[in-house]
This record gives sequence, structure tokens and C-alpha cells, in this order.
Amino acid sequence: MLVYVLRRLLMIAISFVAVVTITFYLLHAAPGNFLDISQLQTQQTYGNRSQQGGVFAESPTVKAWEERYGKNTPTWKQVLIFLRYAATMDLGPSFRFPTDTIQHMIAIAVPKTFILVLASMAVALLVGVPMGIIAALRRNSWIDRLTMLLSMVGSAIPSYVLAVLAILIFAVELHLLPTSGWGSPKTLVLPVLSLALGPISGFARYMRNSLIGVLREDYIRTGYAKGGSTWQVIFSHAFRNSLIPLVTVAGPQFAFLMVGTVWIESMFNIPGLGSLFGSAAQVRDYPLVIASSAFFALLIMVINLLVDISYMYLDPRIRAAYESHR
Amino acid sequence: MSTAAGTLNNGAVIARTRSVSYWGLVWQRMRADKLTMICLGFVVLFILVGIFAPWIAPTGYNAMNPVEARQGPSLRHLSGTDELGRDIFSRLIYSLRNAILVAFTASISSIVVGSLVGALAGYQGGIVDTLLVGAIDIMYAFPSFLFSVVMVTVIGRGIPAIIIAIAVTSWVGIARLMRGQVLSVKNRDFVLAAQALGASRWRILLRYIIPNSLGPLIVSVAFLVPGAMLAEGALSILGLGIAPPMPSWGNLINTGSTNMRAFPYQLYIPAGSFALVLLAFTYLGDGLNRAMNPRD
Amino acid sequence: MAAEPLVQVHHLKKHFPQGRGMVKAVDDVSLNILPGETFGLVGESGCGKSTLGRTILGLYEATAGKVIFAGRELGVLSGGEMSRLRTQMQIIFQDPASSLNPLMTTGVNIQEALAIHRVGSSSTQRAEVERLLDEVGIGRQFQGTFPYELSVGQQQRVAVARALALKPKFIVCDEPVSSLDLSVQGQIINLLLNLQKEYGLAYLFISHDLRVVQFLSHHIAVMYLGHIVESGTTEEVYEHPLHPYTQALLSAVPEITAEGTQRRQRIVLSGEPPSPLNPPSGCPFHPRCERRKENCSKAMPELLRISGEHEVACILYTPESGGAESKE
Repeated sequence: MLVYVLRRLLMIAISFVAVVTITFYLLHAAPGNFLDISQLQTQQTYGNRSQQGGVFAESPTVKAWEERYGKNTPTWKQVLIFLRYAATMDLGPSFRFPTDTIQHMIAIAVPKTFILVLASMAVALLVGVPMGIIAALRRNSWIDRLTMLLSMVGSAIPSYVLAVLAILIFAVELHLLPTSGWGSPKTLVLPVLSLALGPISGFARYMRNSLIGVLREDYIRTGYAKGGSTWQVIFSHAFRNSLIPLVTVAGPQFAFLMVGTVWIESMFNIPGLGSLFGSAAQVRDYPLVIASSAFFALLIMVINLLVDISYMYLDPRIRAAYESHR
Repeated sequence: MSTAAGTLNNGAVIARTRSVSYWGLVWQRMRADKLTMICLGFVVLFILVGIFAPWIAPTGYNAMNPVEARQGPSLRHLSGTDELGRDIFSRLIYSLRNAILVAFTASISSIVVGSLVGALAGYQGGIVDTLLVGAIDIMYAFPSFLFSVVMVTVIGRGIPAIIIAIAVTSWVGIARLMRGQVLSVKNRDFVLAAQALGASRWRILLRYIIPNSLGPLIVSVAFLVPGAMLAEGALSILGLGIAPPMPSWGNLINTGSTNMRAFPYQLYIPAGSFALVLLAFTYLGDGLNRAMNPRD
Repeated sequence: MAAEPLVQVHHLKKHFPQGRGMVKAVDDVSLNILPGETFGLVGESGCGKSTLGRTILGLYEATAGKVIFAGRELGVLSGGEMSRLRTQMQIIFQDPASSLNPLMTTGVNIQEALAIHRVGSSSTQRAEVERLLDEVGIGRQFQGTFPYELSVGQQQRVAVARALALKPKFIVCDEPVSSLDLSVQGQIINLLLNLQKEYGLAYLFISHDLRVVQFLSHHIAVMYLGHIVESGTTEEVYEHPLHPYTQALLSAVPEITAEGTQRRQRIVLSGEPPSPLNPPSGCPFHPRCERRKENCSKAMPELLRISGEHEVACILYTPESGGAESKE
């Protein structure tokens, strides 16, 4: 078990390093001097902080970058510098806000994203799982078909389209909920709804298929033969066996939610990690883009690992398979 | 199902209808599902519209006509006009065109690259396999969409960049799938039988292993196209997609949402039509999946 | 009869690494198969008989030892030479459905054999396929069907037709009738017998069904956990089984005689065959053997010739322990 965890952590670390390296190389391979480009961007958005045209050596942005990475350092060295600093969570200033440090910005943003994601996950589980169960119990009835159709719609339509439509309907037309902001529970409703619909569909569909499969198994028939009523059998055997694999589906859904925050937070003006990343990408704030996406990804990968580990604890078959394998 | 031919014990032979191959069976099952066939019809329609857009669209995608700006849907402008007087319907058609162009190109490239890499890894085994699996795992662990955002940020906008960004993140999943399939197929008896007959490695790979590995691949390919459309839309919403004035669903939705209070139709129509197109492709993929893996 | 053996197997080993251990599926097996004869190989599941058959054909690369076919050693041949030699040795599998390519028609499945070795033109190949289909009792009208449309018995006939296409001298039959209903089993067995008479084929007939093996074979070997524990002519082994394992196996087979069903003295084995990952030391059978001695766990007994062609690998028959013990 420990070996497995260590191996996974190693994979995550390697993946992290690889992506950061690729990003840095791409940055420098792109035409034009990227410092120059982002200068122009920040000039456009935030007014003239430095001199015009190509003479930008005096701007605070460039100064901050060079202070950290040196002038004309080879790319691979830049990667190492970045990694060294990243190890101590010292990510330096961003292009757009040279007076603030990235780690500070991330620190403020993360809690909001967490709340959003956790709330969406909770909603998805509380709505999706029962939906799937009901669909399975009433197979091929109209409830089943309707549920599956809804779940199909929910998984096909991306969260940003849903968000937009939801805003349109509930906020603009019906004036029921606010279109943006952060603070009161009311501001949470629409974002959570838009985010959660995808996972709701995923869970519903998964639960339905899993439960149908389990209900057909022989050991369920044995339960009936032993004299248990329908509900007894379902609760004591079927549920447990179909709930546990749910954990494996939860992992990817979580990643999906995390990535979805990039748009949802932008649309609803929620100052979380997603919008930090999104707006950084828009203005080409490279240090922030690299740092926040790296952090984002790290978060997702670690949570996936935790999910996998808990799955191994819960399902003795998987644990046994891993222990005998190597 | 076609009638299976059989010999009765007394030797008489039952007359039989034409034999149906495995793919023929899949097609039969698909045909039986009306909704799937409707979606297939729509998808074909969308593809045709995309291809023949310049001839179908009433106006050019950037034909500005300030006099007619901000009009709601009418007979003349089926989806109304936008701020600059451009016909939204035409822009929708061109968005469809761009979406299909990006989605299919990205999908086809990732399929080609992914299946070659995956098949090679699975069949060859050894060092080649270990290296490829390592590379695949590294890329797979990183959330793909974030990576494509980073890529576009860095490479820049424009259709080729977006296609590359999407393709680079999708091929990994295909490779993994293909490798898994090849690994399981290569140990099946009929492959061993072919070896016993003396078939060369290439023959086995091309005639036995790959055709029998395509199953799950085809399904995931069917979902790759809407996935790529989704990714392109997502990039556009962030402002990283196809650059204006070229229209894309994401662009249209963005501009629509800035004007949504005053002119809701500018948002409803693009968002709604995007959803419909995605639904059609996705349901088709689902239908294909069900036709290939029939439950009960 | 001192005919030159068609297939000679010398100290063949096939080991599969698994995790930290090693599965010794085939552990030092030697045997000879004469042309035109059926060599039966019996044993329980997991004893390595299928692996042996496949390794003899070169489908698995041997870990040690060698196989000599028609005077040529298999391990040292080039790719082209091996491919040509393959036309003379073929295989029929246990599960007919999975042994045919589901995406090819029945006819093409068989035609592949000819196409691979470029035997004649496309049309002559098809004609030959039709002839083969007739010969195995299916009929040429099935050429355009797909394997899934056929019954299991028919599929197995197709597999036989494919194996025959290249006119081999030797066919490994890996439990060819174990998946078939009893009535169909008889048909396939008769088919195999007729083909053998007609073409002088040699078979390695692998099975766990002792009666079928007895019916078909001239020579027999009994395998246990990767080793051959007893071998000889069919009469020798069936009438005077020497190894305790063979005795136990045969005791479970009812014999129908004129007086009704008769059984030998039933010997019930305790326990289960151990896992090949963790074989017992010395003689692999000793933990379950009622007549084990102290030295049984120390070393694997050699195969010793007792009489005629009858060989057995058991401590009870070594000269030190008093030579041939009483045969039952």
C-alpha cells in the first residue's frame, strides 16, 4: 500500500515538473518577447505604467521578473528557479499586480473555490444518487427514461452554457437570484446549480447502471430466498456494493468541478482560484498563469490520489489485487 | 438478427438470409433506435451546413449593417442582428462551421496519433511500452483542459493553435484505450491461431488485432467530437478561442451575455443552438455505444 | 516399431514470471510422438498441459530445453524457416468461438491459412476452402457466415478445417471437446479419428477426460504440476497404473461392463492441487499422497522405465525402495 502511494506521489511530482517545463519552453518559443507582449496587455488594461513601445526596461513588472530569474537565463535554469521557489511556496509577484505576491493571491482565492466545489459536490451527491437509485428500482418506467434523458442533457451541455441560461432565466427574467457576487447563500445558488448539473447526471447514470447490475447478481437472489423483503435486501446488500465504486466516479467528477470553476467563477464574479486562473490567462499574466494552473492541477491530482486510496480501503478485492501484484 | 444457418441432425439445411457481420449488427441495432437515427440525421445536417456555409448563410459573417442593428428575430434575420448590425443567423452558421472544423481536425489528429502510439505500445511491449506508458501517465495525470488553456495562452489564438491545443490533450486518452484493447486482444485464441498458421507480426497487427480493438475506440471517438467542440467553446468563453470578428459559439455567448438584459435573444439563441448541437452529437455517441454494447 | 519420432521434446521448461515469484507451468518434460499416432496428455486444470502443447508448437518461447520436429530443432530456426515449418504443425483450441476471428467470415478464417503462405490464387484458395468445409462435415454453403452464427460444434469443425488447410503432419488438440455437449463431442472425436486415418496425422490430444483419452490414444502421459508423473502405452497405464496420482484419477472413472457399472477401488484425494506459484518441495504430489515416504519431500523422483514403454516418476518404484512394488 505504501509503495503504491509513494509511486503515485512520484508520478504526480514528475507530471508537475514536466508540465511546468513544457510551459516555460513554450513561453520562450513563442514569437516575440513574452515580457513585451504582456507589457502591452497590461498597458492596455491598466493604463500606462511604463514607457511606450519597446523601451520597457524600467517597468516594475520586468524588474520583478528579472530580479527573480535573472537576465538571459537559459530556459531550463528558469524552470529550476521556479521549482525551487515553488517548493517554499514563494511564487513571486504577478505581472498584473507587481505589488502583490502570487501565493497571497492564491491563499485568498482557494477557500472560496473550496466552498463552491464542496457545495456542488454535496448537491450532486444528494440529488444524483437518489435519482439513480429510483431510476434503477423503476427500470424502464417513464421515471427511468425521464431521469436518463435529463442526465444525458446534463452531461452533454457544458456548465458555462447552463450558467448563462440559468442567469438569463432566474436572474434577468425572473429576478429571483443575483447575477453575481459572493457572500450570501443566495449568491451561491446559481453557481452551484450550474456546476453541479454535470456531476448530478454522472452520478445518477452511474448509480442506476451499477445498481441494476448488482440487483441482477446471484447473491441478491439469495437474499430474497433467505426471506428478506425487497427493502431489506436492497439496503443491506445492493447499496453497499454499488455505493463503494461510486467513490471511483467521485474522483473524476471532482476534477470536473474544479476545472469548471474557471468559467463559473468568471461568470458570477466569484474571486476564487478558477477566476484567478481564468483572468490571468486572458491578460497573459504568465507568472500567475503558470503558478495558479500548477497549483490547481496539484490539488486535483492529490485529491484523486486520496480518492483512490480510500477506494482501496473500502473494497477488499482491490486491496488484495494490489497486494498480490507486486 | 439474421437467421443463423444450421444443420439439423438429419442433415437438412435451413435456408438462410444474408449473413450479417459484426458491424452490420451494430448498424441494425442503431437503426432500431429512432432517437439515435434522428440525431444521426441532425449530425449529418450540421456537417453539411458547416461544409456549405458560405453558400447557405444569408450574409457574410462580418457583414455589418448599422441601420439594422439590435433587431429581434424576424423573417429577414432569422436570429436577429447584433450590435453592429450583423445577421446573427449567418454568424451562427459560421460558428457551426468553425466548430466542426476545429472539432473534426483535432479529433482525427488525436485518433491517428493516439491509436498508433497505443497500438505500438500494446503490441510491442518491452521498453517501447514502458516509455510510452510513462509518457501517457504523465500527461494523463494533469487535468487536460488546464493544460490546453495554458497552451493557448502561450501559443496564441487562431484556429491552428486551438486545434493543436485540443489535440495534444486528447490523444493521450485514445492511446491509453487502444493500448488496453490491444493488450487484451493479443492474448485471445484467434491471435494465437494466426501465429500458429505462420502469420507475420504485421499481418496479425493489421488484420487481427487492430480491427478487433476498435470497439471502445469508436465510441470514444464519437464522444471526442462534441468534447472538442466543448473545449473550443470553453476557450472562447475565456477569451482564448477564435479571435473576433470570426464568430464562434463562445464568442457569441460572451457578447450575448453582456447584452442579455436588454436583448436576451442575443443570448438565448446562440446558447440554445450550441446546446442542441452538442446534444445531437452526444446522443449519437450514446446510441452508438448502446448499439455496440447491448445490455440485456 | 522403431519409427523415427515426429516430435521429440527434451527437458522442456516454460516458466512465467509473476510478481516476485515464478509460475513453473512446464518443468522438465520430455516425450516423443510417433508419426500417425495419438499421444494423450491428461491431468487436472492448471497442471500445465495446455502450456506444454503451445510451447511445443513454439507459440510460447521455451525457457529451457528443446523441441525437435521432423528432425529440425525449433528454437534455432529463422523466422522464415519457422513459418514454413508451421505448415506442418497446427493447433485446435478448447473454446472454438474465441479461436476464430469474429470479424472474418467462416470462409476467410480458413482461407487465411492459405493466403498467409500464398498457396495458389484467390479463387483456388476459395475452392479449397469449400472442399475443406465439405470434408469436416459443414458444407460449403456456410462459407459466407460469421462465426457467431454457428453452433459451438460447427465452430469447432471450422477450426479443424483451418488446421487441415495446410496439410500438416501434426496437430495439437488442446481440449478440443471439453466445451461441447456430449453428443457433439462424439461427432468431433469421430471426425478427428477419420481424418487421422485418411491423412496419417499425429495428434497431441490434451484433455482432462480420461475416457476420451483412452479411446483415442496410443500413448499416454499423466501430468501433475508441470511434471510428467507417468507415461506409457494406453494399455500399460490404464490397466496397471503405477503412480498414486494416476491410480486416484483412474479410480474415479466408472467403467461400463456387461455386468453394469463397475468401479475400481475408489481412492479419494485429500486437499487440492497446490498453486504452481508455490509448488511443494521434492515430488509435487507428496502432500496428497497416501503412500508418501520421508524422502518424497526431498527430491523430485526421476522418470524410470519399469517395463515395455511404461515409465513412472515415483519413489515407490526406485531400486532403493525395493523395485517395482505390487501393482494394483
